[in-house]
Amino acid sequence: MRVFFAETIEETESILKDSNITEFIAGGTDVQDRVNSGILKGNLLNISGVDELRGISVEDGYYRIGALTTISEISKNKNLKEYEGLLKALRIIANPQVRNVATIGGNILQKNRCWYFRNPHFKCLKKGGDKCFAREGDNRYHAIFQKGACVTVHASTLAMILKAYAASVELSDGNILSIDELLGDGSDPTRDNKFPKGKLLAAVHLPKIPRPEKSKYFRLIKRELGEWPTIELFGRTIVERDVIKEIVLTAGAVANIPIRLTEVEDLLKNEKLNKDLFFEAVDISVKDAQPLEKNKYKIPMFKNSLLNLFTQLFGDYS
Amino acid sequence: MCQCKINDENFEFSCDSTGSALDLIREKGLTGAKRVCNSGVCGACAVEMDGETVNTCITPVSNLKSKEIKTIEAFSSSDSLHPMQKAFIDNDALQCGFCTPGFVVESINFYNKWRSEHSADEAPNRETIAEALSGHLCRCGAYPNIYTAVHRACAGEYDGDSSDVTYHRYDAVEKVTGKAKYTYDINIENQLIGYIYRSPHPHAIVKKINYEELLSLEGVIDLIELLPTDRTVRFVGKEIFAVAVESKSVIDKVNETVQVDYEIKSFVIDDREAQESSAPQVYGRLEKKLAHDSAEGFLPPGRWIGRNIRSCLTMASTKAKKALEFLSNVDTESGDRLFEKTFQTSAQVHTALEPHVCIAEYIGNNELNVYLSTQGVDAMADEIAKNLDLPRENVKVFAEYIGGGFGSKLSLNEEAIAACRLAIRTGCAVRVEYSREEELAYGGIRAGSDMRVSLLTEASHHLKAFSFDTYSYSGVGIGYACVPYLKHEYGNVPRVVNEYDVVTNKSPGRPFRAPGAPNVYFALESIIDDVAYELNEDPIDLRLNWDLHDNKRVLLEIAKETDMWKTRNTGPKSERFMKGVGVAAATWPYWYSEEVKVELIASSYGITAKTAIQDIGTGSKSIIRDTIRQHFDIPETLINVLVGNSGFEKGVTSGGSMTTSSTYYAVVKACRELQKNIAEKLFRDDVKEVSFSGVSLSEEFISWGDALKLLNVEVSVIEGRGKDTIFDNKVIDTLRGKNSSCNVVVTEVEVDTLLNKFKVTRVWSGVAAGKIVSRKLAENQVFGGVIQGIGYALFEEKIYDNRYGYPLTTNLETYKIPTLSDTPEIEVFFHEGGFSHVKGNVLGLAEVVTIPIAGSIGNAIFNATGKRPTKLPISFENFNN
Repeated sequence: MRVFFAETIEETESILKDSNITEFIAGGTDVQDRVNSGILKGNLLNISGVDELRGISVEDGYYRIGALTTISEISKNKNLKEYEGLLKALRIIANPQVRNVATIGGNILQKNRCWYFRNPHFKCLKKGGDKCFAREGDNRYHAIFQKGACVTVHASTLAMILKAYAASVELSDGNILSIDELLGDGSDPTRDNKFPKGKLLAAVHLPKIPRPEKSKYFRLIKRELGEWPTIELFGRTIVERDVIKEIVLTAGAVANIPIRLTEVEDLLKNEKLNKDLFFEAVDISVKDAQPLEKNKYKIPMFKNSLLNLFTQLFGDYS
Repeated sequence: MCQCKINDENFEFSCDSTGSALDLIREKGLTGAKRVCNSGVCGACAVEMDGETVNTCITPVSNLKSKEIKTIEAFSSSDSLHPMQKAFIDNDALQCGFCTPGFVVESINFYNKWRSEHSADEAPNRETIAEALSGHLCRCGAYPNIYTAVHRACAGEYDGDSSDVTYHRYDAVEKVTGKAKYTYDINIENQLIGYIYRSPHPHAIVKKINYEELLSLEGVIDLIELLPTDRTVRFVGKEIFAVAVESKSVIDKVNETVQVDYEIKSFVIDDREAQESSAPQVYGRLEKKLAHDSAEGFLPPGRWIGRNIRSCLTMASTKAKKALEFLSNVDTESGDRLFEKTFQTSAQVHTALEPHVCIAEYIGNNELNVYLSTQGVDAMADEIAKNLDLPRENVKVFAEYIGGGFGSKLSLNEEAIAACRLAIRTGCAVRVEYSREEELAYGGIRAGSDMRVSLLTEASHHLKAFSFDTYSYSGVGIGYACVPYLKHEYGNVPRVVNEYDVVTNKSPGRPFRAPGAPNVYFALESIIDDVAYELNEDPIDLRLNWDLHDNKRVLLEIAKETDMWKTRNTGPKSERFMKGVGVAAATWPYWYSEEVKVELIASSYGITAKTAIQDIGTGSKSIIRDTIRQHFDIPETLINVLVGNSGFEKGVTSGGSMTTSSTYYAVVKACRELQKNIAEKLFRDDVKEVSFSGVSLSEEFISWGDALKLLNVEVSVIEGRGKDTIFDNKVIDTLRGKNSSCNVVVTEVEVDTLLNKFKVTRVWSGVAAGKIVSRKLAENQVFGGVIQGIGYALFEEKIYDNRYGYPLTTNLETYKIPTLSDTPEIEVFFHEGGFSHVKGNVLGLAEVVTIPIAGSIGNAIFNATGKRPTKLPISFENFNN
């Protein structure tokens, strides 16, 4: 177990080819946590000094956010002011010390927080084992929408938000993956995403907002701050003369990948704001939910969280 | 090799290591940054890296390459403190101090940014401060003062050299500068690492272990077995053996090599399942005497009445037969009414930020110096000597700074047993520390419980009788006494009180700040609130109607006049966000040790106090200093307080809220003696009078400052506390609360009825614990009690996997303790009278101030929503609106 260093993309690629690298170190906040607990073994490649992966540039149709740009750097970027919900999320994720070093690339590719996965005593599907301990165990913080054998929830708030923007990511070899291609469909229980192995994430492409919109982020936690979400939601909308012209809704901490609430969007789109419609919408939002033994409470909480998001997006109609 | 700069000094380090930045920093001897959560949640390890704060525990050391690091040690010099440090001192924004360096680094970073962006007198609001410090946790609950300190410092109140700073806390400077060396920070050259190997099975008999193979491993020096006599492990994590190894890397080899043959037995984890007649048995018929003792003080006698159920003799019943008769034949015709409800509380983990840690140093001749994070240096020296069969004088226990205990460090635990025994055997120093996982998994709990309460009221709304049944869940432990406190509530009203221990294959409970009382008072105070509602009585009036305790009645009357209570809404509720106000009261027995002695030594350098107590963050050192200052008009810099050393005069364990009640009067007596002795030594027969200001002679007056300067020899006295005077009428006085401290709290909670979120917004806490010696510190203790109570009520729950017996809440991400932003505005009122029979009129208060919090929160939620919380923690997982 040792750490390699790369200072350029080229070096990174060549070390990836020659050495058996298990994971990258960028901000290191997730990696070191797993090294500390003993669940991450193997060689690491420290890319935190690859400066070309840092910074935000304005491109034609999108903002290019270098993979090593930190959460707090992004939150301070003046170009991104229109992304109201994103900026809110960037101020809630983790805590200030973590946001100072944690990168957007690391946030998207981080490992899940399942307490069986994080516990060195359980060899679960994601650690080469043959079962998901949470499925039959204490799953109060786990998925209510089932996508595969692993019932953890995806850990990345930013992935959920980027999904709402249909963002894409750029690999160092120039290839572009949509956020959905990167996240996959959750069916592979051994991985948290479908990022191609042996590749380097270079940047995130955040599409520009074509016309002014409202966006909101909501996180359900027990305490006031500094806690991983039990449920999180993101919404973008354009309302004209009380009619919902555009709406995109994504949800996190409810499935092993971020999900989009397409049916809810379809119900709301081009409809006039109205309370009954919102109640109908939250009812269909959990139509496909399959809660586990200990997380049934998440169903009403999901509906109420969505109602809360509607209040944030549309005012007191709900 | 890589390079970095730490506090302006260049360092080379090997950058292919997978260690953390914190490892490197602490190895350099910079121990201000603490390892607490080891997962980036608590901020105790925060430093500045290139001007931004980072958590070094989750910063790979390789990320330090070419970076500039500034640790807490660099923010002050020997003669100057940063304004933020002054603010922390002046506002007493700390208790045990273990989290303090992290808070200070973050607050200074915030201060610099704030001051660069805002005009001189502009101060941040609570929300801004809470956000800035949201990555820091303090278990003592010094949060209210942290708000104040950061607010005032950012307003520029501590800029410049002239600012006035009051040193409320004796050791605040050491704590805000990172200089305080806790047991955790002590390393002895060539020390061995003691590693405890724990059972992976919840229930098994240990047959054979390949000890010889382990001992033959390179780097393994010695090994001791830690199994009980029946060689049975009854919970995951039970200590099997401890090895002394040369370095941490050997531990991996031990884990890879160890082979243990187990005879696996069936087990039970769920507290309710364990009560079924078919449940696996934790202790067999002949093993019951081996049951782990979880009691604080003495184990209540009892008898086993089921496979895993033990009935305790509580002695808390009064006229039990009559109570049963009343309760089973409710006389509704005369207006009697019966109220019944069940309540449930969860296991709470102490979560002291300094883990259990012991460094035992063999110093030759079968003698040990033991550095131990403990709540009782004196008692531990006794216990270690007994455990190792050594003469008492061969064992010295030291604990100068203790990073929180809350009851988990009251008794002799395995980390100390392992370190001491291995040290004696190897002739070396041996260090054993708990990881955060061990701390949260096996460091102890406040037992959870199921409680069934029945209250019977008369037509006059007086209490006629009640019954209280408690099932306590202390893992493999028994005797987690919850109900004795009920004995002295409500005079002679007939009552039948039962307590049952239910054992399971989980690690045992340990004493915890008023051990079972928060459980009992949550149930009791909730059902009283129900009664008040049903009888259409004001909840305070109803309590005044029932309660005979003089001091509590005073507090209830004052609580009634609080703004919160007077303006609370009792009408119908329909809004999404509802505010509710609840009241709750509690009593805690008054204890003291008459044996405590304090030595005072006066010399031309000042006055030194020595006693074998310890300061776990409550401020015992400051209380001694302040007491001396009440008798000698000298600057505090001339007073030296030495505690945390078992070699000093007889002390007392910091438990049962008895440190102050036992120590204060010994110091008072010693001060009076010392005044006389100094005067006589210097002036013989010329002394007319001694007073606080100095010595009056026939011709002149000498201040104490001058008198001390004249001393060319040491003058010393040793005084003990002694016994209290006996009551005139013991029974009546006890029923009137003369033997208890008490606390009444009024709490406001804002409920988001859509999301079932609860935010405690305001708390008024009225305390009757006799005279207050050090006001600022006492107030801080109350804050801590309130905040730990909030955690207990709303967030904290130790969770197990029931199929494997492993605890799941083994980090500070999943075990949720209150944060700064969960802190309400807290107002404290001290009613200082009422204990004239107590020597010095001083009682302790740490425990009583946390007991009623959960009840008051539940009652506030009921007031807001009309729904009665009956299960803790109250959260969206179990509270359906």
